[in-house]
Amino acid sequence: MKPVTKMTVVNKPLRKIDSSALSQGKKLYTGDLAPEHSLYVKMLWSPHAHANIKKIDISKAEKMPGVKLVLYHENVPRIPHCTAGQGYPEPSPYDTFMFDKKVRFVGDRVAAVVAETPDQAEEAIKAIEVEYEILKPVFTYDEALADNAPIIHDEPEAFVPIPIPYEPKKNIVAKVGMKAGDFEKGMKEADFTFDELYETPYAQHCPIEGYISWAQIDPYGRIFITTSTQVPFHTRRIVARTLGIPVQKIRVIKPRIGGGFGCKQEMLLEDIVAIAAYRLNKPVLWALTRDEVFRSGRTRHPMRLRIRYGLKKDGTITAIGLDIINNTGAYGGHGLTVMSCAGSKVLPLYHVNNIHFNAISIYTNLPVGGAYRGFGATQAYFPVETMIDVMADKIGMDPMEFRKKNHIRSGEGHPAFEALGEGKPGTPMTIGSCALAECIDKGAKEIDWSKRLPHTEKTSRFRRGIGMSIHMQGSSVPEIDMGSASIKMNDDGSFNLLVGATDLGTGSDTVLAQIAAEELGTTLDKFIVYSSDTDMTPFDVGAYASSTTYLSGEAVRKTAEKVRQQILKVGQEILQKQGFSKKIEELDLHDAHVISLDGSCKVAFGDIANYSLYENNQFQIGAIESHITHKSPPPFTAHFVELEVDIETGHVKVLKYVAAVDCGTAINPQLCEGQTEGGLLNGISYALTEEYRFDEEGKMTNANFMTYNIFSMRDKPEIKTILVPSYEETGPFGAKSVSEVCINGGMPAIANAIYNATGARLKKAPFTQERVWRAIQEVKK
Amino acid sequence: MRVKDFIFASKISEVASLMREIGDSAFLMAGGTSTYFIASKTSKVAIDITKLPLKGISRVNDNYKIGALTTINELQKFKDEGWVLDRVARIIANQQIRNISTIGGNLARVFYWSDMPVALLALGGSLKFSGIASRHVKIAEVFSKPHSHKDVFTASILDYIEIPAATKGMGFSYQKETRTYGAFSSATAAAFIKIEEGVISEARVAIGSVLPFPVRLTDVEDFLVGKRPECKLLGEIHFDKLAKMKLMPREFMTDEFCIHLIKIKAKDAICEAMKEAMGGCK
Amino acid sequence: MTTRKISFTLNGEHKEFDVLPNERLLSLLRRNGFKGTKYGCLEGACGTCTVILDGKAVNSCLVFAFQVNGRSVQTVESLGIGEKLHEIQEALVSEGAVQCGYCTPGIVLSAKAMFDENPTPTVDEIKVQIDGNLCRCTGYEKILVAIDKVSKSHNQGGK
Ligand SMILES: Cc1cc2nc3c(=O)[nH]c(=O)nc-3n(C[C@H](O)[C@H](O)[C@H](O)COP(=O)(O)OP(=O)(O)OC[C@H]3O[C@@H](n4cnc5c(N)ncnc54)[C@H](O)[C@@H]3O)c2cc1C
Ligand code: FES
Ligand code: FES
Repeated sequence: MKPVTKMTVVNKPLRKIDSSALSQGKKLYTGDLAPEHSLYVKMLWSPHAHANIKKIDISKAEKMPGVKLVLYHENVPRIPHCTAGQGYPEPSPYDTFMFDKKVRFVGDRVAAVVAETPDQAEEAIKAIEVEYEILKPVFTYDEALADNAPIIHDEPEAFVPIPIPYEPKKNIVAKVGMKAGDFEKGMKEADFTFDELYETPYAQHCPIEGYISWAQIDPYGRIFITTSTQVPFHTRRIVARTLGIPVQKIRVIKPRIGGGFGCKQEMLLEDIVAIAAYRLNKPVLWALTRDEVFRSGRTRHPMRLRIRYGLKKDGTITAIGLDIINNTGAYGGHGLTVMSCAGSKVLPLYHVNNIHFNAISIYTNLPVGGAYRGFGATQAYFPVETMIDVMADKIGMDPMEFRKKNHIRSGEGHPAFEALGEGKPGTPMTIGSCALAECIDKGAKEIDWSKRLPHTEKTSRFRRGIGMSIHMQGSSVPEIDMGSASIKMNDDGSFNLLVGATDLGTGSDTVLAQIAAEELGTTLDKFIVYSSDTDMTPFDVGAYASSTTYLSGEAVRKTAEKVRQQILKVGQEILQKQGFSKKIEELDLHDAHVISLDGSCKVAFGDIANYSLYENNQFQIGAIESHITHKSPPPFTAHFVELEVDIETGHVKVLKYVAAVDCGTAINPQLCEGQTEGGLLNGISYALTEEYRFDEEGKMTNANFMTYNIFSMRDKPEIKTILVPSYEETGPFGAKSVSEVCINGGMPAIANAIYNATGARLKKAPFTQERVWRAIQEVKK
Repeated sequence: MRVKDFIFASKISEVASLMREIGDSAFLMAGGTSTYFIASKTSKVAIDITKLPLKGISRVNDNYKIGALTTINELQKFKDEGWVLDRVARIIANQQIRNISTIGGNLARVFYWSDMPVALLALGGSLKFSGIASRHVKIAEVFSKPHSHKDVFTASILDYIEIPAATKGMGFSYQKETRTYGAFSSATAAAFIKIEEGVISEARVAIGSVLPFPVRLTDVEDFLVGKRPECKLLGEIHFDKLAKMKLMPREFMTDEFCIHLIKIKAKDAICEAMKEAMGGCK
Repeated sequence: MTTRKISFTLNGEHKEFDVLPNERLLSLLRRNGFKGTKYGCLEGACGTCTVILDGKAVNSCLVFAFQVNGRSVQTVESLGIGEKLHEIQEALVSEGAVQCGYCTPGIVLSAKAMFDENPTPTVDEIKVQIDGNLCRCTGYEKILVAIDKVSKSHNQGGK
């Protein structure tokens, strides 16, 4: 393979292929494409956290103006399913029904109205009479695990399709754990031991485009669903199951989507629009309001994490213990996998021989946890990377030196890779590419780490601090996730690239086309990319687990490689006719031509396509290929932050944030930077401002952008992204993933910087003014 | 809030008679940005007043006259030596809201997060009303109690606002605590200080957000007046009146932190205002 | 509820529409095919639905349709026709500031209104003027760089 420096398309900051049209506001998103006379869905959501529905009377609603259909548990199929978009069979409970007799959180489905206008549907919702039998709700970790706790999933149908522990009678969704070495012994060997509790909040992805789907019936009676999803193929499968119809009856199309970050790795609206369209034979549209996105959409799992460490005076970590209780809310879709990742993407970062990891996912009567960028690792990095600082402090070592001494390196493995999988054992692996050390050095230089003073030397009201953290993630789920692609060549030497992979705004359509273009020796503009349509494109698991570039990208590269061989052959044939007799090995693809390596002859792609389509030995130049991965190579990153704390008010102002990232070869450096910047800013506001607030009834009290605060441009600190190249042998052109790893830094790096500014340790996020202020009061004592 | 009909008014007298005619369901609409926050069971008839000639900022001697329909953005962009409302305006909501919402609307409907009432309570000045009852009312009086505010605004159209120009010897500071720039305030304090012959001759301190309706801390003001403007003053302020108030902490703050925070904000405001009045820190 | 007629200038053309009194401008635009105006919150807090009203950026989900009667509204449909992008769009695209792109039309219009008033804003001024457009994808870094680039090009007599 040619070195990265010789590449002409890969590793170039080329324009995202859809960005011009997007900047012009073209009709490209789900809502823009809905047929004009679509009917509208509105949902009656549960006002109670935990209740049985004793009676529903829909008769008044049905007679309201414009109302076409009212759906509720008595008139739809009752089929247990899991809404999480994961590989089949999922390591998750089938604990959800289209509608149930029971409601399990404020914001659970009760009944849907389909009407001619949203207003009519809204009015009809108010006319539905429901009688509830209120049950005792379960809100806290302790309430869920108490003896005689109310059982949230007492329905007999709930089950897990693969043999993993599932104890709904105890509100336990899943358990994950691993041991290596001897944890107790490691703790005994230590000069210092640590035992702390950390807590992370509920948070939401806040894609600017909320959940939206519509469905219509094609003339042959099939259901076409257009939806803002990260997982079109999983959605097709789950909708088919939920409605009790064959997969063949359904087509799922993902147009451009307005962000996802994991929350759209879920079948959330599609079953309703599908069944309504099917019953009414009319297009049916459903869009959630922002309020509904917060209450009824997916969230980041809140976790309570107990962390224990054993440490020697020389900086050797003798033991790590991580015990997690994960609140998965009312339904358990990602309950197991999110904990696996909290272990497998975090524990390997440092050398420790004695490991204890134990995680348990519980049901509560609160909003439902889902996939969220960073997926469990983000939560686990908060205690792990904060404690690294605590430990370094204890032995008087610079926290950066401490990290450098202990972090994982290329060629090393870790027992967590093998132990923690997705409902089955994981995949053993050793680290291939790793430029973490260089990331640390470059980031430290940019933030000017050497000027960092201990907090004891700071006395003014506004105190500055510098903190850091380092992280890894993965790239795809090995041995489980599959991506595929097909490529065909057109008359003029252009190509259709069809991928199941899902571009949710990340630019993956562009990145995948860059990979194909590089392999085929042509330019990006020669590609017509079409993605994520279950009728048209080959399968792909979808956009999650940081898999698209590494997994789907390699599928594309392999496909292109096959096409490359065909083009070479046809080129050879043409050149032969022109009197140039060349072996395949003497030819190459370059500049949209087949060229001979000695420069004596060449033939253009257009001529090759024309020849193969019209002239001689005609055939369609084209191929389809699939890929599964055998490892999940981690990208690495080092984050540095400088901030200022007002010790009187607890206000934290982030001044500068530096992320040095090793994502292997950056297929498109500009897009890699964009992923990093977007992720890290989300990480900052997750650390400082974002949290669900609930009243005593379990109702969220800040379900809007005015009180759930995400950052604006004005809040943004100075951001500096440094891409540090490495070459991952198993990835397409050396690439790994980038999107998830960059969200992990906010909480620990900021917590560490607050400590450096004030001496205060934050163990509960977000770091609200009051929490910061109280922690500072503790220091003063 | 839902709108069932709309009317464009072009003269104040016309508005007055429309309001009488329509009665309870009449809703004066300036920018209309408050409508998502107003819960009303009944639909309203919107009387669009944006065509009335109540716009613009002008200086009349030592005062500024601000038309009620002046937008927050116009307050933000206006530049003049004694003009201080730009400091308040630029930290309200976001640009799109600032572009359309009016100072009149911000004063007429007080939400806990409303910025202008707190700022104006400290700045002082008066409101000129027209329409059914035409009168000039001191800001201190309008905002003395929620019900007096309600009484003054009921069936009246705010015509313009008069505030003092902050000239030499005067200082004004507006301190607002928020999670993000766009977020509602969790604690707001404003202070106006006038210094004559080396002592504080006038002081107004107002707080908001931690209460449903803003108030002036008159005991603090009384304490300040007559004192020399020095840093150590800040440590001597007692906040007795504040200590007796039932606060409404925001953002899940405890009472303890809420009262601490608002005190800090008030002191910050007083400190900054003193500094400005002295023409720099002493 | 009965509809009423209003008229206003939309992208330079005089237009008449039937509106419901309770209808917001966003809904009026979108149901008449102007789908370039996207939406993210429908409560005035995200700026996705930004349009330019009499030269100022406003949230069309907040403004009632009737409020624009007799005024002038500009949507993204008026900018960057065909392959030729407006300079703001061009800068956003070339700097990689368009990820999912859902916030982009709103940002383009906020920036346009800003530049019409002040062709050469400083970085700080840009941050204050574009503080009403939420973007969850980019972290704003590239958006800021792109808009600053346009400002600098004006400074060099580019406009
Ligand atoms: C997303 C968002 C964020 C916001 N953040 C803030 C914030 O941080 N701080 C803040 O202070 N505000 C904030 N607001 C509120 C907004 O600033 C106020 O609603 C606005 O100032 C009201 O002005 P308006 O012209 O839109 O008033 P309108 O909505 O038109 O009217 C408001 C009220 O005032 C009455 N009224 C208007 N003009 C007159 C007049 N001349 N005479 C008598 N009565 C009149 C109306 O009848 C109505 O009752 C926010 C609003 C939104 C949507
Ligand atoms: S959709 Fe209008 S501001 Fe969010
Ligand atoms: S690019 Fe996705 S929200 Fe801005």
